[in-house]
Amino acid sequence: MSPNDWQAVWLTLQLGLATTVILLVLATPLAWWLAFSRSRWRTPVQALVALPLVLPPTVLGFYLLLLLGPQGAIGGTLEALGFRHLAFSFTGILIGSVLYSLPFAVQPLAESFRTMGVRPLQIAASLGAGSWDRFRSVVLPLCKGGFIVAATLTFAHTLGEFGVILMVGGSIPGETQVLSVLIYDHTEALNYGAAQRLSLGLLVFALAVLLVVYGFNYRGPVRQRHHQQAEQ
Amino acid sequence: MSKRPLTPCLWMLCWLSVAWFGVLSVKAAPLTLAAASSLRDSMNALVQQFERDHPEHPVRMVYGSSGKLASQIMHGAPYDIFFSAHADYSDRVAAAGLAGAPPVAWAEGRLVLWHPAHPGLKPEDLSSAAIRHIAIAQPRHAPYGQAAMEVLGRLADDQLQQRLVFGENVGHATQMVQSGAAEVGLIALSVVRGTALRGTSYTEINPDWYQPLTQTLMLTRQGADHPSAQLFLAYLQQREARDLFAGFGYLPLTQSLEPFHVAE
Repeated sequence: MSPNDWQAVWLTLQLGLATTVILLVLATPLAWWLAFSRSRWRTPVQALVALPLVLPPTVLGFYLLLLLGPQGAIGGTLEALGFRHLAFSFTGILIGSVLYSLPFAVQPLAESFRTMGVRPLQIAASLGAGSWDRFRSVVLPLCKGGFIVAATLTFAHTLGEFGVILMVGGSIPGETQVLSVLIYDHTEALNYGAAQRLSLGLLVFALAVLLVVYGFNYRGPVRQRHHQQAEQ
Repeated sequence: MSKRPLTPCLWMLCWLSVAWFGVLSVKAAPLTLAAASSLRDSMNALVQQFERDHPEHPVRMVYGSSGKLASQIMHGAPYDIFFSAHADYSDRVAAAGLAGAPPVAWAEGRLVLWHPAHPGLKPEDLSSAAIRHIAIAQPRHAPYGQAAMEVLGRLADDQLQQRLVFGENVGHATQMVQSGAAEVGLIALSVVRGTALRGTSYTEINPDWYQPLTQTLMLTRQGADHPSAQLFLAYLQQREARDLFAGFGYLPLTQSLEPFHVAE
């Protein structure tokens, strides 16, 4: 592996970790609202969150490029304020990743909140537990599987991202050239050996992640109880 | 029922991520060169020499079709020097007001018919039934693809249109032939002279059959401020650099890249 390859590995890990941290922070309250709200906005929001699942990455990438670039609403405002616009930058691909992986964080969390239901929290509240205490000692342990699945899926999905990053980020080494983009670049350079090594690494990693996810999905006691309830 | 149960933990995570970006953003950017795919092998060789001679001036490369790179620069891509395989694309970037110095034509590229499995094939033989796919770069944004279309138009065989497969750039078109998916490709001489394809069979196309592939280089507005840019441009003018590009089949056009030096 060349230094350039290692640089891409490190950059990809940074992108994956940053996306996961940001998405867990954003997705938890959003998933909570989706799980328990009776608002008439619930369905439209649910549809919006799921949009990246069906939208071609190029569409998302195209809109982001327009928004974040020097003439875009966001990029242009930043430039006017004396900052750099966000197209072709790490921050730009990070924003793209957060949007693109949003359903992978929100859906498992909402599912696990819904499965838990409000009963455990009502009981905890009646015993005098404050809101932070209820989250820490009731929600976290009961929905541990949901959090782990959301985090691993988000991380793995970010690693597998290609179209959005290629459009918003270009392929700048050390800035936006993540593994998936580098593999593409290696094949264009007819550098099949390097492409092989990186591809095999990603393949093994993706399989390992899915094993973790399915392991938690099927063994989770909360989920089993939910299935039994559903059958009755 | 509680609405906001997670505040403290979330704030901690937020600040951690902010601190992380602070760390990320302070590193200085290396000199970033955006070059047409056809230049990949020659430019990599040159940059390797440059970094050996000037280890304190790191360089990073971005390759793509000239049209794609030009469009990226116009959308704000942080490239310091743009190497286009056709004067058109550097002119467009300059017309958008993004040039640090006017583009300079420095060499001419050549189109070849690459036929690793059909030695001796001539352009006129493309009509043969043995040739089911002809790989070319996307003519809408890749100069070698545009030149290939001109050559095919000259052969005046409508059947050929149905045999075309389009790569995103010359490198991608080459890969299509290399993988065996296409029998032949109309690609750059500099690519078949590269290490990966050396010794494979190709036929040079008569240069009168297509508009000259004038290679240009242009310092971008952002590159005008980069401390390594002038050093790299000076390096390009040295005998060794010129010989290196000549070895990849480029015909030199200028004796000096003098117009590049930005007036202080």
